[in-house]
Amino acid sequence: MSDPILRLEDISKSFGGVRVLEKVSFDVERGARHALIGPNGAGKTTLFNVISGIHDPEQGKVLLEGKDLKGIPSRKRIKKGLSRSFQNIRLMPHLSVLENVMLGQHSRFQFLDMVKPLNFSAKSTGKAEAIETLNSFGIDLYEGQTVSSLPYGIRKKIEVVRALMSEPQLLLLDEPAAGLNTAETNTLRDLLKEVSNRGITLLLVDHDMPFVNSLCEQVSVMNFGQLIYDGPISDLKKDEKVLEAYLGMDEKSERSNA
Amino acid sequence: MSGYLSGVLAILGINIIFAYSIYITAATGQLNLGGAGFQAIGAYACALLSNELGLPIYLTLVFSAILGGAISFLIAFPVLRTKGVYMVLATFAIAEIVAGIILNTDYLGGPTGMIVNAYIETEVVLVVAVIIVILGFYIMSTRIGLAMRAVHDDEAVADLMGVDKRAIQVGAFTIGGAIAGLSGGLYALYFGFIEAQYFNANISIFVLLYVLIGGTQTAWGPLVGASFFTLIPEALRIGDDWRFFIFGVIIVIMMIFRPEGIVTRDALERVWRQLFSGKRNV
Repeated sequence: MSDPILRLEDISKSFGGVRVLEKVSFDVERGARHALIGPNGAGKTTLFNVISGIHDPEQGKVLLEGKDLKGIPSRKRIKKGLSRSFQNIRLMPHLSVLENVMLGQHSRFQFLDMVKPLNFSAKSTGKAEAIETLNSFGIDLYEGQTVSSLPYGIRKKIEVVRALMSEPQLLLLDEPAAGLNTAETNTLRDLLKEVSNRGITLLLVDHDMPFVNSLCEQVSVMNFGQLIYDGPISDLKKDEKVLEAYLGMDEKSERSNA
Repeated sequence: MSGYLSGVLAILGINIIFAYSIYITAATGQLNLGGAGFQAIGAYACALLSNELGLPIYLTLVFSAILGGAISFLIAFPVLRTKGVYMVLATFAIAEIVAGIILNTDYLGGPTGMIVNAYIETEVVLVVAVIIVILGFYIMSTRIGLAMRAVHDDEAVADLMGVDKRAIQVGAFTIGGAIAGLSGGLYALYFGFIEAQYFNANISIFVLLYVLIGGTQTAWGPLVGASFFTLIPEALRIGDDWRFFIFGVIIVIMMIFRPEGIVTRDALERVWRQLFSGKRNV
């Protein structure tokens, strides 16, 4: 097996007196579709924030392609092949759909390319590529369409497309299916499978288990800041700790007694 | 051209340039209430270089911009550590410090002001204004402009997209200071007399209003806002003593119906779609 694209080694993080992450370690294999699940408050988003550099871990290492990301600020991690979407949609409200997507390309451009007018050199400024990518994901809008008036599902999709524009190796998706109806969830799953087929590794947090089951092969489960399971999603339901975290002690005992 | 019309056009040109100086920083989400201070720096630099060294007017204007930009760059680092209302207060304080220094420096004429020996015609002001408007549109049409607007909307996400928000903010503050300095230089050369009392808090508030009423979402905002604030009071002269009352009412109505400014992206887009419907599909 090749080296993992992402390795987390004993990540710990506290806010004030609250221990949010406690020695979390797991690997995400290259090209995998890996889920990170757990009850609310388990520390999943905090872990995403540690990986993307928003928070520094107190202990432990984040290794991307074998290289320690310590000291690399969040804005430079995108150049290392790391991109992410957010739990609550965070598209720029005053930018058009196309501009939001083009913002995702920012890290790939040198200063001289940044001072070219976007409308007069569509190829060298990445505009043509952004339009092509939007179209390839079935987003067919007029050029100046702002994001605020669009349906939630389309905005979620645009956020994923924006994250892809940096040509990431690893895409972190924080609750991509949250708030979507069944049809929108199915569309998103197809989109993410297509992204995965392009060779991009996915690490996603979500509560929608049918969605996670139909998309991911590997899963890591967190509870109260600790990793309680890491393995194939097919074995998830057999794990005692996971059942306890999700169903509670009493119900688990009833189940085992039944 | 009548003297009155010429004077109004010159003031319009200076106000438009001044408005772009504040707009460039506002486009990144920073409100600068110290515009008058940077304008004063440019005006006095221009006056001194012209009176003392006899430099050609075009060079004095270039130096006004360079000095305005250099001082902005130096103070950008401490000022940009503040946010929101604290940044507004910090920039306001800077303008007061500049005015205080000028008032207490005899070499700069102190409270009696300074006569400027060189002189420029209205046409020069208008040409510079056109150049600055084009520059404003140009910057906002590039990926740098896109990054500026992204920092305005959501600093944290812009950062994660790889945008160096500190460089963008410092750069915008510096360019804004340079343009404000240039507008001060033009003011000094056009009116031939400068005094610290002119560069007061009212001027800073008005130029910020040009930008906020015009709209910070597009490069049209400062052009429309400065024109609105300069030309409407002139047009209301027929209302005699009531003109500022009427103007105030117009501003209140504007703020009720256009809280994000006269020109917004959505409004522009609607107009664009009506003019070129179906031609800009992605």
